[in-house]
Amino acid sequence: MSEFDYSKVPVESLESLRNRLNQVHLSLRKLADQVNHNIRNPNKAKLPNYAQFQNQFHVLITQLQSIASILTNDDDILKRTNAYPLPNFPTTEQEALVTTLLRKKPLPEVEGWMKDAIGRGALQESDLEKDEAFVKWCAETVQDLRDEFQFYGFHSQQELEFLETEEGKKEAQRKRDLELEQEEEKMRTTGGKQPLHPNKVFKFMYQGVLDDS
Amino acid sequence: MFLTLTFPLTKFINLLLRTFMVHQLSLVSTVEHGYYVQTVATLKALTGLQSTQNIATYNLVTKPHDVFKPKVEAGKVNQIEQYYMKCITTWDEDTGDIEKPILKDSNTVEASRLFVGDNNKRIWTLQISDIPVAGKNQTCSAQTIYDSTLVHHHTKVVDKVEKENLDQFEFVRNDSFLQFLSDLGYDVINQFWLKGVRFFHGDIVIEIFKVFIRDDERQSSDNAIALKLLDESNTFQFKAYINVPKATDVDAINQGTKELLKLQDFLKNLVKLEIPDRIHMDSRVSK
Repeated sequence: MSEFDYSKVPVESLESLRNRLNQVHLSLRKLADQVNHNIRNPNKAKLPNYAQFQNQFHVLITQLQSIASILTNDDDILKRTNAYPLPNFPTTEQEALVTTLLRKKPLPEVEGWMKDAIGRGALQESDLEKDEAFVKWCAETVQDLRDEFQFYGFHSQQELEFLETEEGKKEAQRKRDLELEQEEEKMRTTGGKQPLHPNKVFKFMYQGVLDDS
Repeated sequence: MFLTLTFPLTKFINLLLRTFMVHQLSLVSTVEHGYYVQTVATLKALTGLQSTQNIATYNLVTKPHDVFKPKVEAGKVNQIEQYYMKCITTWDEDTGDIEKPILKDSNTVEASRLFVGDNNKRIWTLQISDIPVAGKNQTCSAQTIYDSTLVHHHTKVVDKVEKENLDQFEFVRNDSFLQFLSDLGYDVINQFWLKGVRFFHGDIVIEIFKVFIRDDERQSSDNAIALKLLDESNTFQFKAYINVPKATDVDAINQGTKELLKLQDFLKNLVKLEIPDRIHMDSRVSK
């Protein structure tokens, strides 16, 4: 089932336009009613007075203006948009066709296919369960196998064997020498003395006294 | 802050007028010499600074020479303290790379004598600091520092007065800085030199430095003073601080404290930043 991309439909501008048109429609209807009422019963009802008409026109003009502004605002998108059915489509005669064409829900037979597909998905779930069981079995087996071995130290068997050889012994000696050298270097820089605590240094900086206590 | 003096009033007023106050929040630690390069590289990465700012200062520790004892009167401020004063100026000589350890047998660090020669124009910062704030559950040291800067022309006046050779200071008559200090009511009691590097991380200033003192056992060249390390283990001092303009600005202090704690946590595997002991930072003159 492919999802239709509704994001490109200018719903907002079309909706606001429709609302405004509805309002104009209502206002015009009201005006027409008033006039017709008077025509049908010329004796009973009077035509609304001039001021009332003026007000109604005023409302109409405002509404039309707002429609015009919406049209100009959304000019860009509305120009490129077609609203179906087009005005020249014979809506009344071909009502059945229009409803079929503008249908949003899937057709009944398509719905049947969808149900079918969902049913098939449920069947496959049992396969997933089997898979999971297999994965679990694998993990357990690996764990069991690993428990049979024992690991010591940081060297692999290969490295241990290398250490046994003449060259390996030299290598180890080199490392020890390096460590010793670093230790000596440290000894040389510190002179074997303990570092002064910041407090003692501060005491000196603030009071000019270095106490050894 | 009270100064006792018999001193040209204009100079004194000038000094007072230009006194600035900061409230300093700080944490300290030490860095072993062997870890210096690593520490600097880490801080460079943290602060994003390509090159560090060098610190090289010469500091005099001075003490008021007259004891000031006002009459204790009811209804008046009776807690009047006298403070040691630090005088700081730059140490201009190139004394080699701080990255290299300074060893006892191959030490050649020297500083030239400032108080000889003519027209030695220097900028001095006079600094008096209060004892850090007391309190339980502190997360960093908080201390108020007052300082004032003045430019001083040191001129050597050849006179017939017998020169007093007190340590390396040659007391020359007129416009000596030491004479000025003496007029201000202070005696020099010690001196030290600082050398190190400085980083900036947001509002935090990080300083890593070594302290040098005069080495009397070593012969120095003319017009120079032989120096040795105060801490002969070659260990660096590490200080991270934030200066807040006002001691009353609680928001800024809280913010600063938070930033320092963040830094402390961030650097915890490199240096263990801790709160310095306030008693050791007490620069009041004991009576």
